[in-house]
Amino acid sequence: MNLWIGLPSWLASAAFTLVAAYVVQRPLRAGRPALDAAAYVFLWIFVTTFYTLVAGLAGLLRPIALGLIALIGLGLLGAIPSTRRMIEDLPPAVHQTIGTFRAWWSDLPVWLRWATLVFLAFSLIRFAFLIIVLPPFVWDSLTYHLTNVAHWTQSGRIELFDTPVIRIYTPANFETLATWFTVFLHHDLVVEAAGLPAYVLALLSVYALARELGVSRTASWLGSLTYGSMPALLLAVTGTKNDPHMAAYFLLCLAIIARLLQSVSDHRTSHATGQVLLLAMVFLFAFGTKAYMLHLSMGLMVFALVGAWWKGRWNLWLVAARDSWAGFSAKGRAAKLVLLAIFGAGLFMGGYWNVRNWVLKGNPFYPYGVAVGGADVLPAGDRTARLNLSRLEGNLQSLADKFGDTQQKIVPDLPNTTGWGWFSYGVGIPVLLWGMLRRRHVRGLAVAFAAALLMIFLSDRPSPWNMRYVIWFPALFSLAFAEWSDSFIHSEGKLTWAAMGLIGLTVALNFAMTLNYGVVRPKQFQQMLERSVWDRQSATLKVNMPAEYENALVYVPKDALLGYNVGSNGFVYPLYRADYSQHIVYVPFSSSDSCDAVVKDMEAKGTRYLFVAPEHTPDPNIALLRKCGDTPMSGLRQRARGVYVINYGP
Amino acid sequence: MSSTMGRRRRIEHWIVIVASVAFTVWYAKGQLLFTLYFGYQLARFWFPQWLPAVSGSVGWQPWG
Repeated sequence: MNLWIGLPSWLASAAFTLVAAYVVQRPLRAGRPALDAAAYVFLWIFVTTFYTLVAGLAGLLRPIALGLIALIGLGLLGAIPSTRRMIEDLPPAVHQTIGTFRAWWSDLPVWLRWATLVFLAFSLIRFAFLIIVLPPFVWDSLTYHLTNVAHWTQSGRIELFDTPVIRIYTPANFETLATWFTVFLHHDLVVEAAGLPAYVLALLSVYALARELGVSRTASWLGSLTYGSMPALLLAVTGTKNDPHMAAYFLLCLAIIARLLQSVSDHRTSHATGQVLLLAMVFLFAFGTKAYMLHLSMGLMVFALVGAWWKGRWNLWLVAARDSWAGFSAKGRAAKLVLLAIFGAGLFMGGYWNVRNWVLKGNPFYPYGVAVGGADVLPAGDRTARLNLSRLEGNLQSLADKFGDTQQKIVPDLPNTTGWGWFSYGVGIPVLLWGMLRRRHVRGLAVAFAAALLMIFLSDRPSPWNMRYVIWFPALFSLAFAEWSDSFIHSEGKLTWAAMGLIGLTVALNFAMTLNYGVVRPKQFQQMLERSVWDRQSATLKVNMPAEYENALVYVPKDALLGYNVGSNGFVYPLYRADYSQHIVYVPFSSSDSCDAVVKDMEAKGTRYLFVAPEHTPDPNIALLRKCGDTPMSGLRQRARGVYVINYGP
Repeated sequence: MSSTMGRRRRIEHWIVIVASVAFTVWYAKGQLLFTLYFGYQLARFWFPQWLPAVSGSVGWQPWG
């Protein structure tokens, strides 16, 4: 790690992605401040991920290379006349944005301004503390999300590699963005921050959606803050998971659809082309993040149809398509090329991972097979994504069992809980019932959210952990709350104070239960705080980590090649170390192999070390190594639960 | 407030608030101790002599 190179390169890269996102957004603007703010955050995520992916595929994932690309990119944006004019407009645009924000801020009641400041300050401190103090520890991150990130950061290239955890093949836009947070420091110190842009986007999207539905600024913002306190979202944001990103993209799609409904029915279609393209970009990017965007699309279609029904115009979407095409046709050649290039980038980000899998494995959804009803549509892989009624029944039963979060405390993987928290259950349910009776917007949203939920439940494997795919759902409670509170929030009477007291209480309790992840003890915080920020290793945080992982860091020299053998759901990431200095190699052997064969496998892989760990390595494999260790080779038996050092050579 | 909101609508909103209190109490039955547990852990971390250990912190079982 060289901070003198890493930090300036990171700054150059950040400047480039921020400016490029501004340039890309220009033809996609809605002319609505809230929606444009959300779109800008999305486009920053998009541009940053695109830039990292392209550089990674070219083998240029190094701080200097990325910094140079950023500087060249900034130079090009300044040299091309049309983009130069946009950049020249940047200072007045920033000035105008600040002015818009000031006007928005002064429009909020004083009490809400204070509540917002407390919320933001507390969130910032909480996020920063958890990101800096704790290394990654969430199960799926340590098996495949961050294993990709570690390998790519270490090798400087986005590529496939030999590992038993074949879920590294799944769409990886999130992992690519997370790599942007590791590559400049060559360290995982701030990798958990990769979820923060999604958190900001989710809040802005809820706010923008409420505004598009006609809710006042005050009530919309309050609704947005309540969603921002939802435990399942808060815990996942810094848990290096991609579900918060999916929630944010789904909510942004709803906000864009709501805007299109309004603008087309008002015959104000000057932004239709850009908004339709933006909608396509968000959808495609989400699909390249996690395939369940296909399931969520049912909710988007239902919302679009319900919206057309509200407007009394069943042909509204035909009109929108016609207007957006007319808008595209009316543009000059250069503008058309720009829009096509943006769309091409969207197709690339949406399709790259699946096309790669299709080419290499004959199945775009590898390692998942696809079955609809009883028929296999795509060949089965490691697991099968099914679409059938028995799964729906199982998942609905599972939701009923988890409803109310009575079974256990809420932790990032959400075992046996929904993770919706105090606000959703305390205030959310009554206001949703009220909204269903009193507001057609809430009825429409409820139908759309239910459609998306049912599609997920038709497919998802019923399990204790299945609610993590629907952390967008509680936004419905927040939107219903925004609608409900809008009718009295400005009066500042007893009703307002009673409602706000309840909101303050439930949001505060949500934060109280998410002060940490529900699984880390004060002593473990102390142990991490006693270490240097550069030495807070996933392997040493014993939340769900067998002691063998720390042994690997202690016994195996940094410059040695560490062989490992774990199952398809075993931790790989901690072996790389926090600074990605440990090179590792998979040593495949099975329990039917002989001891000699294991030694030869290690020899073939060029390693003198073989790591296995209970719960992560299949028991028969460990039993084989125990048997091999039960020989005159001294020392092996004593280490039979940890790192095996097999001295096969001279 | 009465000038901007009818009596019937106001009653309706108060019913929502009373229902919210009831739902919050219902949720508290399942989650209050879980919610306060980390705060208790912290307090015990600093003042172990004053506060008794809580059983079940490893193999967690819901209380009550």
